[in-house]
Amino acid sequence: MKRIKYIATIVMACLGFSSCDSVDCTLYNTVLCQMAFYDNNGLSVEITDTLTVTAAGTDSILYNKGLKTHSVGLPLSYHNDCDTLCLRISGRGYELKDIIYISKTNREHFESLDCPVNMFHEITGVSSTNNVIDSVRITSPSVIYNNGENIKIYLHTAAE
Amino acid sequence: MERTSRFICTLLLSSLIAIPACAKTSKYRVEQEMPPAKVLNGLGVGVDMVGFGMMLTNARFANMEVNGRLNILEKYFPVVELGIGQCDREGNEQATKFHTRAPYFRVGGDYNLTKKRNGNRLFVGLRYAFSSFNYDYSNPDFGDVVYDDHTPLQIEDMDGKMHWLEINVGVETKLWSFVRLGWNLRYKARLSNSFDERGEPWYTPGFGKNGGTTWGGMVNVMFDLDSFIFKKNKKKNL
Repeated sequence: MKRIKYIATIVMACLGFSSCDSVDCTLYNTVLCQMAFYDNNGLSVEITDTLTVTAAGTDSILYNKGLKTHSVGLPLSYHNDCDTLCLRISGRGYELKDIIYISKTNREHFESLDCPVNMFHEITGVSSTNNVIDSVRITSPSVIYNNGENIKIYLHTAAE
Repeated sequence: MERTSRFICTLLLSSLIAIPACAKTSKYRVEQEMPPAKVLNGLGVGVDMVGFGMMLTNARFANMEVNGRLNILEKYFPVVELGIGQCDREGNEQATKFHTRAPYFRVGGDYNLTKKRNGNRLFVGLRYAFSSFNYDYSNPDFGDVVYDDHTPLQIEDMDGKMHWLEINVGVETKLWSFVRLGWNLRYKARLSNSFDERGEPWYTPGFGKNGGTTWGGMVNVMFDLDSFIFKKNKKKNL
């Protein structure tokens, strides 16, 4: 009788084994390279005219006709070693254009099987043409979820 | 005649009273006279049926393992468990696939709480466990929408390691001759782990779904090798 009880307990335990899943993805599901604009004195400036950013190799517009912009968050490519970004600042009757080159390494990032796979980047170098932009500098090379400013863009004072 | 009938009646009555008394005494004697358990009281090997069941039913993951243990004084049971954990799983929301197949091992012991030696055992136990493994992630739909680059993702042989502790309670009973059946419930707590910077493994062999703690269970079929061997020897001697 005791053995029957033991065996019954074992069977019940087998039937009772179960588990449940919960999806726990991060709220930050996009990875953006954050760039902020500064004057020659290192003070934050606002681009009052229209700013548009495109990238070489794609028709996508990364940042479309922004006004009063003091910083932008731009997606970087998943597989290219170097991204070429084109900044256009336009006003009444004029358009100024500069190109920023961002060298980087890319690595995939898995949060969970049920969350989207994302691509993190490590910026290794940055340079630009100098029509509006005076210089560019890396602040934080890691482009990951919500990591703050990555690149400082110093503008010519005359172009502000 | 009257004397004889009185004697028989007295004998019957006294026997009715004496039989239960004798029975109690003999039972008491059996318990008292049970020889003390030997220091090395046996050797057993077993296999976990849950893991094989999960593998056959194509469950999300399966830990297939065998174990060996010593029986010391019928109280202490040092245990070694070796297994292979495998997992092939695709995400519900995304097309990301995870794969791993690697060995793991556990070492520890059980303590038998039952005092009677009637074939049933109630265990509490502790295990230290470790697994070093490689894992893969892949996603055929992975693509860069902004830059219009749709290269399928395939990352292989990422390294993972994990150390953890397990606390278990379980019962076991003798089914037949040298065959025993038991189950146990385990609480697993991670001690440390390391993994590839690109992402944690979804599953760790022997542990289960990755996390700080988890629960597990096993249904063991055990074979007492000593009683099996002794029985064979006895048959030979006969």
